[in-house]
Amino acid sequence: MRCRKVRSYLSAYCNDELNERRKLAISEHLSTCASCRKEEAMYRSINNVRLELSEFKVSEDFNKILFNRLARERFAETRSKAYLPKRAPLIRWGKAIPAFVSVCLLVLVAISVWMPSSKKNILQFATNNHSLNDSYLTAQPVNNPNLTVKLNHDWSFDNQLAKVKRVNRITNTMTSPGGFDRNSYGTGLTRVSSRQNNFIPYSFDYYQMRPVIKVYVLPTTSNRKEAVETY
Amino acid sequence: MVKETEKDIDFALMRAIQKGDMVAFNKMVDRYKDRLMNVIGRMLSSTEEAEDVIQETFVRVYQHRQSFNYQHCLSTWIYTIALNLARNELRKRKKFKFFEISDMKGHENELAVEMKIPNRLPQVLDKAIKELPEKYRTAFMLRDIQELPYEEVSKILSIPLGTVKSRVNRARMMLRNKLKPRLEGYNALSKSALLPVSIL
Repeated sequence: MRCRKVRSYLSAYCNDELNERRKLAISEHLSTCASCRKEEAMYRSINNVRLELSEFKVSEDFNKILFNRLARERFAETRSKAYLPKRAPLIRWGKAIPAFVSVCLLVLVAISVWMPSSKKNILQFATNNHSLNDSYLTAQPVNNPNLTVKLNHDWSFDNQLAKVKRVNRITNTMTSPGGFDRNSYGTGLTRVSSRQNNFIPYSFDYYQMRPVIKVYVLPTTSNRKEAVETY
Repeated sequence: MVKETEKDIDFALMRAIQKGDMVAFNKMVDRYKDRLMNVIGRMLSSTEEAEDVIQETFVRVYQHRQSFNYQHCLSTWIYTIALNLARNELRKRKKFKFFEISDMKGHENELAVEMKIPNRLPQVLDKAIKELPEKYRTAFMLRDIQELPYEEVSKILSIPLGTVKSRVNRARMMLRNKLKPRLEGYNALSKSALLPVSIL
């Protein structure tokens, strides 16, 4: 064995950690090599010094401090949640979730029941199969609420036109310089004067007229069924 | 055979501790506190810090007493906990540099060590051990100072057996290199027998 190899094993040799074969080989080498013997002596003296190393000791009150600390730990342990009775939960998810789901289902059912009628209304409106009361667009009685029943009268264009013509005729007659023919009407209302303000000029009701324009779109091949009305 | 009985005592104590026997815990503390102090005290250099670490070790042992695995030795478990805590402490110390008062006073401690003639060589060895890199120092202390078998050291440090052996060997060689000048004088003097060894 060479010195280099022997020296790598020397510390183990001095601590008696080698197998018999290697131990023998090293002791043979040591008997012949002085420098390696010197090394060996060094390791052995380190071992001797190691045994003389001062012992580290814990302080006298080590156990007392430790047990005080442990008592605190144990106290904290008993105060921990594991030792307390379990508090009733605010929300019992096991019950809350099925309840929520059933409410949702009820709402869905209610919507599906209500939906068809509203859907029908919307569809009706969309397809113009409705009877909108458009009378407000035509003649309206002013300061005469009793006449509102007349809104159900025939508001056809011809009728309206006839009414307008009639009123125009009367107005023209009233405002014309000739005045009414006293004999034909017999009401004595020959003159419209600002001095006779509170006098109702004629016996029929007083109307304010607004023109009604109806545009009829002729049905074509594409919209044969729906005649669109535009006001 | 002796080791086996040691192990049996440890296991009996641990079973009692698991049942909540504080007297057994006290016995276990008495068995291990000085052994741990010898290792941790040399790792951390400050006695107070080492004691804190050992206290924490025993508290952890108590807290996790139910999770002890009877496949391993109690000593392995305790040393592992203590060394991990000590390593954490050393890491913290690296983060926040601590200055000891002795450092500021201009190495008076060292001077005192030099002046203490009777225990000179052991103290020099102690200092040399503290100067070893951490991985070599831990392996050396567990093997040569605590005299634990290599297998247990390997379990404690969670490294292979071969690595433990090489680290211990390396640590011994480092110490030999550090102590060489003094040891030569020591050997020469002890051989010539002019002075009693205790004076050195």
